[in-house]
Amino acid sequence: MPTPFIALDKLDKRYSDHHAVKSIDLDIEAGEFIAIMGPSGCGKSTTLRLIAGLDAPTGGDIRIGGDSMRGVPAFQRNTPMVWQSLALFPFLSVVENVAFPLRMQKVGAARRRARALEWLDRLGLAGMAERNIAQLSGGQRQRVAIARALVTEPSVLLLDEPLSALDAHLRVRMQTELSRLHRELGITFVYVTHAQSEAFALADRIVIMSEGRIQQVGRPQDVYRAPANAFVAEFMGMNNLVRGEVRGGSGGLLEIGSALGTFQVPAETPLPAGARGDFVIAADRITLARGADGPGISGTVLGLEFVGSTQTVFIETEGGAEFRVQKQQHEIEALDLVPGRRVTLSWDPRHAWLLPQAA
Amino acid sequence: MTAASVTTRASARRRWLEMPRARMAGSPKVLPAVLGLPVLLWQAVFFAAPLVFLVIVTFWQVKAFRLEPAFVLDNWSRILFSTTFQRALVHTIAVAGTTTLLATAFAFPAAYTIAFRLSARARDLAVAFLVVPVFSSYMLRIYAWQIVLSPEGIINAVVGAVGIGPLPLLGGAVSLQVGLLTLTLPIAVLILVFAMAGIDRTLIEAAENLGCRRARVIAHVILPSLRPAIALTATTSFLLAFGDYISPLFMTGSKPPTLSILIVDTVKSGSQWPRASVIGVSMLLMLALVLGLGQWLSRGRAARKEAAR
Repeated sequence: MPTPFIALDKLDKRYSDHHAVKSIDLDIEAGEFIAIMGPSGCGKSTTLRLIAGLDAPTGGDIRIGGDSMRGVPAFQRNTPMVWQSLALFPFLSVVENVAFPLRMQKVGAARRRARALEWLDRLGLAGMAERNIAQLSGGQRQRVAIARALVTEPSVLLLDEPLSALDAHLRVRMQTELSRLHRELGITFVYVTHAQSEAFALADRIVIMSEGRIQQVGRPQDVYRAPANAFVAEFMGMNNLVRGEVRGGSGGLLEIGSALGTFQVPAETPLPAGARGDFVIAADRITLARGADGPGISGTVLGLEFVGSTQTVFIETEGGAEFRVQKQQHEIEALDLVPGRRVTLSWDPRHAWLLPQAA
Repeated sequence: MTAASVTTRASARRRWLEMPRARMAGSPKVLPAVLGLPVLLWQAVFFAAPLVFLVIVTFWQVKAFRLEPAFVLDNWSRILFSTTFQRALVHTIAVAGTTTLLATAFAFPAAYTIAFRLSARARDLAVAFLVVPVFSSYMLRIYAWQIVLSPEGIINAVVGAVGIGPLPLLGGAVSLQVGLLTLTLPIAVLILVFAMAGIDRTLIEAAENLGCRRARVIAHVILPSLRPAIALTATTSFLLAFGDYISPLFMTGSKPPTLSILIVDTVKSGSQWPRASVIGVSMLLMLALVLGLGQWLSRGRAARKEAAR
């Protein structure tokens, strides 16, 4: 296995009033697009700041390209960052902003201008070079910030919630742009976000953090289908968590008893009866049937919510639990789902995912 | 009393209550004008009118120590072509310019330390210490300096004990600058501290992230961000020093005279109010010029290019 390009080794950051990052380990491969996700205050931005050297860790080490970053100041790291606030210099023109890192490297005036113009052109800002930052639109500023970060041709780009200030339409366009740049440049992107859609659309692997610890690392679909714990399952949003207890089992299927009834859940290793048997079932894996007398869990439709081409149906079961079910528009119409309608929920046992239980 | 009459009274009262509200509905245009009127009136009576009068007086005459309305250009030609006025003007500009440079130069590192190097609590304390002298009597502070600098003063007592002096500390260019800096420095530091506190810290981090070492951050981020504040500091220092009367009077004994000293002298010698007004109006023109220059400097290069387009 090759040495990772960026390695976080028991990285720890303690502020006077809180413990932001709690001894995390993470290996990032060269050329990888990795997204760090989590609710606000989970330590994802602090981790990025530690990689950039803007904060000093209180424990552990960061290695970039095999070299320890201990004691290396931010300005020597060449780990440019795209900030949530963009942090463009308002007193410099567009081209001067992009040329700034080259100026810091003492590149000659003519050469740095030429290279800055090249990058502006690459990001579709060819005619904007002499403008003031204040004259640009949000999307154009975003591109200037990206050009400024990439002008020194670094081997890693750090992005701290770069798209959160943009409207939905622009966000999707910038996602495509970032994806294209990552493909063309082949460098490592470390992308911090709280938006699941961005992480899923862009990242090769996602890292889920909570309260300073890494909860799970994996490909987006794996994290979505096979969450490591209840936190990840709930953070992914479109999963329904059923808390239960192992009753027995055979042939790779565990029998799990819960307040909602008894369910079959696949498990790689058998668990003894009485062990915790919490499992999740994804919202798009649930089958709905009209009426409350079929096999499965009966419940009542509480409401519906549009999510683009699909709708999320909120259902309250007999036992008082709330389920989310994702359905296509035509399925909703066929079942004539309206609030108050009685329905029955069922699923293929193979689609249930037993949470690895913390021993 | 019948129920019907109660209803009528209630509805009448309601109608009466609604009346002023109906008038308020038309207020979006009227109200700001009404609110602005006292300020406008105040400005007209206490600023515009005296200013106009000051200009008018420059054309009046003094006959037998009495001011008489007239229209003569004599006051202007006599003052503008007198070497006393010209020397005083050059001297005052030189003095105020020196104060401006010194105040800005001393204020910048002080403000930088307060804004960037001190803890939040120490910063508040430092700002409080800067604010207090601004509101204490300027006169008192100058008297204090006289005690410190005079031939029998504190410094000379100390250096006299080791056999040096007495040094002529009071009554020269240095003591004049000490007096003028007493006036301008706290204000200069305050302006810069507040401007520095307003600098987006992310910009500084971004500069470091993009390869700018700590020492170069001042030149590449802080100074360009402070451009308008530095222009404001410089113009404020200049305006205060240019028109000051107390420091030239008490720290140098009016020699050589500044323009404000000259105004008092002109009035005292033969009640030459018109000529004093000429000096006053010239000073105002000079200040307007400096303010304009400050405005021009405070705009960035890019903004100036924009305006020229």
